[in-house]
Order: sequence, then C-alpha cells, then structure tokens
Amino acid sequence: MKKLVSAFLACAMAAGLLAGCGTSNAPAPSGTSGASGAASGNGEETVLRVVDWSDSAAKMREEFHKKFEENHPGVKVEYTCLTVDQFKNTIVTMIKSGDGPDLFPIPTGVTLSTAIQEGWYQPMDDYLDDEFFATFDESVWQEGITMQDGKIYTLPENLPLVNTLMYYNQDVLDQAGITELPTTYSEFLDVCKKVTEAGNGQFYGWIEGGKQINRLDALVRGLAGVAGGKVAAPNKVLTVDGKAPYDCEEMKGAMGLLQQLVADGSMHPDTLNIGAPEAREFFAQGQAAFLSQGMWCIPTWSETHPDMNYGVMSLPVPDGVTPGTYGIQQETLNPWMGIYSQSKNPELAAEYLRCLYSEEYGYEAAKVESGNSVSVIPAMNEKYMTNEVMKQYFDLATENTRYTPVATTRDQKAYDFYVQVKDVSPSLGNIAQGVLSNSITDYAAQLEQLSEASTAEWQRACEAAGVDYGVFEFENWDMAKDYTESDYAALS
Amino acid sequence: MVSAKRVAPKEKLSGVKKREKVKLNLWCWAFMSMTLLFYIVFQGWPILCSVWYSLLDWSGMTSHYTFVGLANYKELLQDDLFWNAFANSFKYTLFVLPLQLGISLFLAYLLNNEMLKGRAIYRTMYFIPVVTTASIVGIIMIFVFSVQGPVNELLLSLGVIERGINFLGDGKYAMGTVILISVWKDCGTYMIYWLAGLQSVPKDVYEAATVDGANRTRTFFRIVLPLIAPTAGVIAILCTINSLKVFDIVKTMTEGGPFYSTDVIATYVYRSAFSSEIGMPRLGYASAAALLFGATVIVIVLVLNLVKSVLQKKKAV
Repeated sequence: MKKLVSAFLACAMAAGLLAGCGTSNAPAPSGTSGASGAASGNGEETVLRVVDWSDSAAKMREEFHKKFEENHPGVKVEYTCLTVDQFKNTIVTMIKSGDGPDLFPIPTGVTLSTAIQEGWYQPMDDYLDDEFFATFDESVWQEGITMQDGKIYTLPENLPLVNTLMYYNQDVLDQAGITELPTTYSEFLDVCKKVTEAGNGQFYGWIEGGKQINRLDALVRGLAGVAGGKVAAPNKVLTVDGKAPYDCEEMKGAMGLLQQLVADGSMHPDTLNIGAPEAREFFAQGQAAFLSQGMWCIPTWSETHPDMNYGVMSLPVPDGVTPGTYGIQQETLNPWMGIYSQSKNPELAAEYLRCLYSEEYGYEAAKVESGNSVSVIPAMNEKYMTNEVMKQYFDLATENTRYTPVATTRDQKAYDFYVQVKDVSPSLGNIAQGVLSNSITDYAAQLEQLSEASTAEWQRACEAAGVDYGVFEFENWDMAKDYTESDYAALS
Repeated sequence: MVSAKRVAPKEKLSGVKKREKVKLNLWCWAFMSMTLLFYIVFQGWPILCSVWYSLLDWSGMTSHYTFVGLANYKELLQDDLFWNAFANSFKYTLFVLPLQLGISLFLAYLLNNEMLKGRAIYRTMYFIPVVTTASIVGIIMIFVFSVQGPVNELLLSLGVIERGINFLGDGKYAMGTVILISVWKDCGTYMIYWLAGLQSVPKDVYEAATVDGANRTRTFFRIVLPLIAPTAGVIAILCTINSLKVFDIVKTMTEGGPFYSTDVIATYVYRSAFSSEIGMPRLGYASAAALLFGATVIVIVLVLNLVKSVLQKKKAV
C-alpha cells in the first residue's frame, strides 16, 4: 500500500510540475503586469521596476533613487542596469511573459513604430503635463523618435553629440617634446611616431578600444566625414549616386591612416586586446598620447585621474584639406525611456520620469556637471556645464559636426526599411580591425566588396519594405555645411 | 554451425509476473520522469523551436516574422564567415583534444601515485582553474598575454624573442593562445575523469606487473592504458563536445577577433542572434547556423562510426 501511495505521489509531483510549466507558458492576462510586484494599498510597498543600460550614470542614478524613495514613502525602486546586449536579450522575454518593467528604453535597432505596434509602450501625455514637456529642448519632439501620431511615447536620455573626438594627454606630449597639436594626417602620423620613439616602450602615439567594433566603426566614419566623405553616421544609411559610399576615397584615406599607424609602430600594442574602458584607463595612465573617444570619458577621469593634464581636439584631416572645412556626422537623436503598456503604476512611472528630469532631484544636473552628457533640458546645460574639458568638448563638437540628411525625416516610411535591412559583414568596423591587426592589407578591395554587398542588401530591404530606394539619396548634400530644413524642402 | 538465435522462453509470463513487470516499469518511469521532463522543457522544446525559427526571417525582437523555408540555409552555404567559424571550431577541437587528453592523463597518472606526498594539494591546484569563471580567466589572461604582460616579459628576459608578441591581437597567434588557455583551464576536469579511470584499475595488476619486472612506463602503456581505454573513449567524446561548443573563453578574450581569426560557431551564432549594427538581429538565421553545424557534426560522427565498424570487421577477418 505504501508503495502505491509513493508511486501516486511521484506521479502527482510530475503532473504538478507539468501543470506548473503549462501555466507559466500561458499568456498573461492583459492588465496584469507582474511589473509592479507588490501591489500598493493596505500599507504595502509599491515596487517600481526600471531596467536600462545607463551604466556610466549608475552612481548618480543610485543617489536619485535614494532621494526618490525618501520623498515617496511606500515606494521601492527596483533598478536593473544591464549591458546593451543583455538588455536586448532580456527585455523581449520579459515583455512576452507579461513581466515587463514599468519603465524601460527601446532596445537598439528597434524603431518606435515597431515598439508601439508590438504594444510595448503607452503614451505618457495622460500622466505628464505640458509644463513638464516644455522644459525639454524643442528638437527632441520628433515623430518616429519620441512621438507617434502626435502622442509622446518616449523621452530621450540626452542630446546627441558626436562620440569621437581626439583626446590628447598633454603630459605625454610634453615628454616627447611636442609643442603643437597635429591637424593633418601627416602631422598626426609624425607626432605619433615621435611620441612612440620617445616613449621607448613606455608610451605610444595612439590607443583605442580595438576589440569593440562599434568604436572602430565610429572612428573611421568620423575620419571620412572630416575629410569630406559622404558617409552616414553610425547605424544609418545614405547613398551616393545610388551606391553605399563605403568605398569613397575619404574612407580609403581613413583606413590608410590606420594602416600607417600600425606600420610605424605608433599604435599602442594592446589596442586590439582591449575595449573602450581599458583604452580610456591606459590613456589616463599616460600610456598613449592620443585617444579617440567620446564625452563619457570625462566623468570617469574626473573621478579616477583628477590631476590628469589633458585636452580634446578635432580628428585629423588628410593633407590638402583645410581643417574645419568638413565635419563629423552629427549623431541622430535616439529614443530612450517609455512607460510599459501593461504597467500597473503608470502614474508612478510618470512621476519617476518627472523627478528624473527635474532640477530638484539633481540627476540631470549631476550628469551635466560631471561631464557625462549634454542634457535634453537646456536650462540644465546653461547652469551646470561647468567642467572645462566638457565645455571644450561641447564647443569643439558643435563646431566640428555637420548635420547630415536623415532619410526618415524625409519620409517616415524609411523606418520600415530599418526593420527589414540586415547587416553586411565584414562591416566598416570589422575592416578597420582587420587593418589594425594586419589581417587585411588590401583594404580598398574590402571596402569595394562591402559597398557592393551593402548596395544590394539595401535595395533588397527597400523592396521588401516597399520603400523607394531613392529616399536615401540626397543630391544637394554637402559635407561642408549642415543639411537643413530648406535643403529637405529643396528636394524634388 | 551453431545458430546465434536466442531461444524464446517456452512458457508465457504468468499474470503475476506481468503485473510485477508493469509495476517495475512504472517505477522506472516515475524516477525518470523528472529528468525526462527537464530534458523536454529545457532541451527538446528549444531544439524543436530552433528548427521552426530556422525557417523564418525573424529578428526575435518582434512578433513579426516571415516564413522563408530553407532560404536561411541556402544563404549560410554561401556565407564565408559561417564557414570560417565552422573551420575554426574544428581547428580548435583538433588541437585541444590531443593536448587536453594527453596532458590531463599525464597529470592524473602522476597524481595517482600513492607515494607522492601532497597529491591532494596538487590535485586541488590543477582543479582551481576549472572552478574559476571563464570571464575572470579571460580578463586575467588578456593581461597575462598582453604585449607588456608577464609572458612577453619572461620571453624577452630569456632572450627567446626580440620584440613583444601580440598573442591575442595578432591573427597569427590568437587561436593558438586561446587553445593554450582553454587547455590550461579545463585540464583539471579531464584529470579527475582520468583519475577515476585509473583508480578503477585493481592494485594487484600493478603488483603483478612489478613482479614480472615491468617498469612504470611499460606498466602504463602495456597494462594500464588498455584497461582504461573505455574511459578514454568517454573522455574523448566529452572533450570533443565541449570543444566544438566553446563560447565563453573566446567571447571574453577575443570576441572572435581579430578579424574573425578566433570566431567559432558559438560566437558566430551569438552575434547573428543578438547583435546588429543597422537593422535588427537575425534569430532565424542564427538558428539555422546552429542547426546546420549540429547536423554536420552528427553526420561526421556517423561517418566516423561507420568507418570504425568497417575497419573492426576487416580486423576481425
């Protein structure tokens, strides 16, 4: 009898587990979020779940959360900061299981229209007033980025700013006896060579996080841009004469510069073994004279190397090109945080956003003050941009960037193209890495192949999305000046 | 000639015996149910899902997908980077397998010697890398093998090299370095397997060999090795499987670079499934790559088994 009972219990356990699995696979009833864990009311704690990838501002966010919880008794903020890749992998699963966080940003590569179509977000106009929205820079209210059909769905994290300028370590330059900053390719190569020779294995000319393809991609695009090359900003598509312009002379020149840096031994030898954070640290330790990265370096250095003697300059241009004639491609505004459509506490989520961008809570102010980023609230920038290097970076970035045409501004249907298009490999970043590692010697042939393959893929994606391929072609685009609304209007 | 046919029992099982058998079977199933369930949920179902996904043009990010049949597979066959990763996976396995098995067996044989003092400490020492997280090992090894790291310093001071070698940043050395580190990291696991095999060899066999005048090397090659051959087969299979699916150490140390020189199937699949530069990632395509690789491995194993059985038959004749 005992045996029978045991057998029954074993079967019951197995059945229970099966049933449990079945339940967890079932779609979540609409309106339940799981998002807010403990429900409010009856003196219970209300949990507001926030997930994003803002690691560079993590400490400031912690401070903000402390203050937010103090001023909102009974509210607990459950904040998770992931890497971009981790976020991408996790968020879709969370949403599909009905367990999405109350607030989360749009994963990279997903357009706002797709996110809304998928039912991820709800408009925030109902919970936040016009007074709040009026504090933002006017340029952030863009259809397809923060808004759809006149309703606001997301708020941007910060104003776009070019993410690749050249930092120089003044102490290293001084040790090598360099008195003048290089502006052209030959000057840059010459200075890097002199620094490397003077360093005698202790420091080198240039360093970058060569393991990160995205950093190399941004660098070569920037180099081509300041040389006058008509290449779109990272993650964007533009054509020239109906072709992907990756094999333009300016891009070949940029690759040639990298190849020469390697040939001269001027590149820090560990460049290919490290990512951007390690490169930033090596630069601060005085292991290299130049580093090509973005504004995010400044708060880290302020904390870890407050006495570092450094500055920022523009990217070098090819010989024969007057510095400042052309510019680096201006980044486009990216959508960021939105309120989950199934959130149980949308009012609280909106309150969190209101506080996040307010001066009173100090999060935006701290970001600007530390040099982390440029705020989407102009008043914050005016009041708190006190870091000298940040000001220098901001001024230089403003002066050295050019607004390039954006296909989605011309025709919003182009967003559908980005849903269809597939990456072509080896990409620009991959090719740059191949050049730096000496795996590629004939970079011109690689660029031509990339250009051909990208053209074919972009045409295919246009066809699949029902988008006119010509929408990516801007005949009146000139890298020497900003592409303005009147240029859009002048298009036939 | 004697017939090899088994003679069926003349008497049918009685009703009692039948019930006993059914009961026994039920118990077996009850005990297996958990494992079976977990296998179905966490292995079988995802594999089936992958088969379906591989037939779709799907990013994995949205609910929108298009059925494309075998188009992903056709594209893969023409994808040079897929075949590069494919070849790298086999290259990695080809080098790791003999090194891993040889070194771990050597260590296990040394540490199996009861006369060796402090062998527990040695065993622990060799096993420590196994329990260390791959990402930690990766970060430390990037420093150890960097151009200004201790390995280059040592080689330079010994006069072996004139200039520091970029072990992980140069395509010529990157795969070799990854292999070396993987062998070091996982050696402890296989050493434990070998030790289990070696300890199953009866002591009197060693005693008999000593009495017959066999030295330690002769005893090992002539007596111990044939006795632990079945264990060797299992270890070789495990090592092959683990090598073909290597991911963490490559991802942490090189991310498949520089310029795809250490790109293996797992990093290729991961990149296709979760990363994208302009558009969306390609979960469908990544699923097809994983399945195509898996299927190829199965075919290779089947062919090898066939060859093995043919050779064994010939030998028997």
